[in-house]
Amino acid sequence: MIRLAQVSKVFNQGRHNEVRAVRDLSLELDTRGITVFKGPSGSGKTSLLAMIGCLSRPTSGRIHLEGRLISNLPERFMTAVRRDTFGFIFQRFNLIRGLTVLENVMLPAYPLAPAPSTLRDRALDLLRQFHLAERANNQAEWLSGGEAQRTAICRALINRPRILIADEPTANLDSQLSRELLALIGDLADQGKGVLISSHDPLVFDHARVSRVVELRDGRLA
Amino acid sequence: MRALLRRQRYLLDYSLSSLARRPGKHLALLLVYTLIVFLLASTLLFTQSLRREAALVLAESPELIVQRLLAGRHELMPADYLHRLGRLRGVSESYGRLWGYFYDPAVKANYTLLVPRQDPPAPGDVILGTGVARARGLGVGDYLSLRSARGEPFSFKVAALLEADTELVASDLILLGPEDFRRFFAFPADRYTDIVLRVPNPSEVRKVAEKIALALPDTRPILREEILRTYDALFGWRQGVVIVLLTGALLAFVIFAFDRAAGLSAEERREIGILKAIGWETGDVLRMKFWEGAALSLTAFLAGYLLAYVHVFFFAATLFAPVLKGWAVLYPDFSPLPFVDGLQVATLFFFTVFPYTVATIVPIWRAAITDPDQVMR
Amino acid sequence: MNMANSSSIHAPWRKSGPFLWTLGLSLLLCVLTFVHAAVATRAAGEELSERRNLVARLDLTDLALFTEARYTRHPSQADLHGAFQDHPLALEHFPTGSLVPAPAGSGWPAALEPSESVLREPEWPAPAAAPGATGQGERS
Ligand SMILES: Nc1ncnc2c1ncn2[C@@H]1O[C@H](COP(=O)(O)OP(=O)(O)O)[C@@H](O)[C@H]1O
Ligand SMILES: [Mg+2]
Repeated sequence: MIRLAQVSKVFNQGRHNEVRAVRDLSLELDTRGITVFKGPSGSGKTSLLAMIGCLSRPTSGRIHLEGRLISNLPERFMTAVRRDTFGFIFQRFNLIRGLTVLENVMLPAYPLAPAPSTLRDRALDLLRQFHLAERANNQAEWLSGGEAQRTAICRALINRPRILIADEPTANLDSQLSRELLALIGDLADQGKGVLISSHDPLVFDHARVSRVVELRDGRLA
Repeated sequence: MRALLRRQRYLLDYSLSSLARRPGKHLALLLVYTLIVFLLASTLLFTQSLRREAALVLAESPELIVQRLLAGRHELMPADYLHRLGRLRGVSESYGRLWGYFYDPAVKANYTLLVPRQDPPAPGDVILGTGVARARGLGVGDYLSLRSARGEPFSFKVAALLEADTELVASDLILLGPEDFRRFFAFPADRYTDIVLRVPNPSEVRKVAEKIALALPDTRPILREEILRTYDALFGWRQGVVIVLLTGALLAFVIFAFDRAAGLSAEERREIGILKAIGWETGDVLRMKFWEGAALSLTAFLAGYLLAYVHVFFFAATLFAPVLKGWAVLYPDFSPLPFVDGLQVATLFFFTVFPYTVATIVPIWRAAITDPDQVMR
Repeated sequence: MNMANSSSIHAPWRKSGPFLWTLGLSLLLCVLTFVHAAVATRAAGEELSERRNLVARLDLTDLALFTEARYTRHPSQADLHGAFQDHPLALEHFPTGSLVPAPAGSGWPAALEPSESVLREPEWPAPAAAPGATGQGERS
């Protein structure tokens, strides 16, 4: 259960270019199933996901995860929560160029320092599961869009997070690939992962497996 | 503890991958850095070796040498100064030395002609330093002809050669008898080049020198400790010049590294953001960058130092020979002995690895402490 | 897509392995240089004492490293306040030295330049001139 209480996010506070991306938002989210945040561009979806995922702190308000306050932790603890609880899938894939697919997938686990063979096997299992096994030693920048997005999913899963956060995951994919991706995400939800997606793509929020759609407009619930 | 090491190793993995991404650039960087360290280390090792050698070998020099000055210029020493010095307390023995320089136009070399105090060569004989023998192509039994100060040709029979091992101190020596020396140079019979005083007790040397300065104001005493100090300073100075130059190069290099890192490209910023977003702490990013700097500078240091060691002590500092030789024809053929000063090597280590590593980390700091949500857009 | 088993991926995914090996090896070599230095200097004892003995026997005062000119041969015997003490272009004890340029030409100080005329001239080198180590007389 994720609980948001009067959460606001203000950028450039007090300056002439102040932006109120999220305004006084209160919300309860289930950490099971697929939740989609829907809304036009600029409605504050990304800002909200970033706060939930401990990538940034709210300007005001509180966020609780399973009853634990996570919105005002010191950096180290925020990182720990982020690392252990959330897996991220970004709109722009955000794979690291010059590294192999395998290395990219293992990256989030480096600070946790599991045994190398364990980590490698875990990463290879994931790659196999997402049909990327023979891409393992390819450089990340040579992947096709679909392969890159699947690599990003593997990377998001390597630390076995409870919740996946996907920000506009289909924005850089064609319809066919988008459907495949949604099928994969559906499978993950079936396996018990909670999934939070932001999107303004009807393919996403009309998808059969989506359990809840939250609509945002101008930083508020619509 | 295990986990800690494992974590560092993972970070090192990443650093190396990161370096390998632009192999050309980093290889060039490594090469230049290694070269600088190599030159620095070669200079340090070589001069340190010569310094130690000079200190060890010249410790056997005479305790006190007295030169005559005439109107402030070096002059020949009148023989009766030996008597006028009389018997000073602490001086066990005093005698005049005969030695001088000879420029040989045939091979464009300067020789040092010297009369040994004990067992000088028989009249007509000379003993040659190996450098002279090499320059003139002479062996034992050959004749060395030189043009004397009066223009007459002199022929000396080469009676022996000095040991090859002594070349560092004796390469340009020609040893001959006192009569030959005086006739060859038209050297006045009542003169010496200078006077040597043996003072067995080191604590008395200074006293003796003061007494001489009082008794013979037109002389200049040279203490053995001054000789040793001269060599210490000489190599220190030469080393210093090279080090200053190379430190400049090193500094330029560090500034370059700093400058490059300070202007972090958008791509690099983004990369740091990604790492933080997927669960790296600021500290992890900094440690990763530390390893990147350390890997490069450590490799450069180790390679540079090892190459320098091989260069100086296995190849007799071949690259430095032209610098040291200058215009000298008689350059001693010697291999420096590996007197290595651990502290010096440690200093070199510190000054090559530390600044570069810091220069790579510091600019990252700013990028690493920003919130990672930037990568979402 | 066919399943690749994990053994098919044998590319060296850890770059730190070879690096650490190389590093360790180099460090070992570094330690060995100190061992070598200790052993070699000890082994050179005889050679060293030969030089020491010669220095003692002949009352030598300097290394025969700088034989290029008379006034560089015995730095320890030279007047420390003489001009061009070390090298015509060297830094000086006194600022004046930096104002006087080195002689033009081949780089040989004029007084040392061997020439045919010099070889024919019987007076050279003038015996009256002191062959002293300072030897600046010819150059000033
Ligand atoms: N770092 C930032 N600095 C300034 N303004 C920002 C920043 N991030 C987002 N915004 C602004 O906040 C608003 C919400 O953005 P965002 O959360 O990305 O919306 P969405 O993801 O729904 O498109 C937009 O007007 C955007 O310009
Ligand atoms: Mg967005």
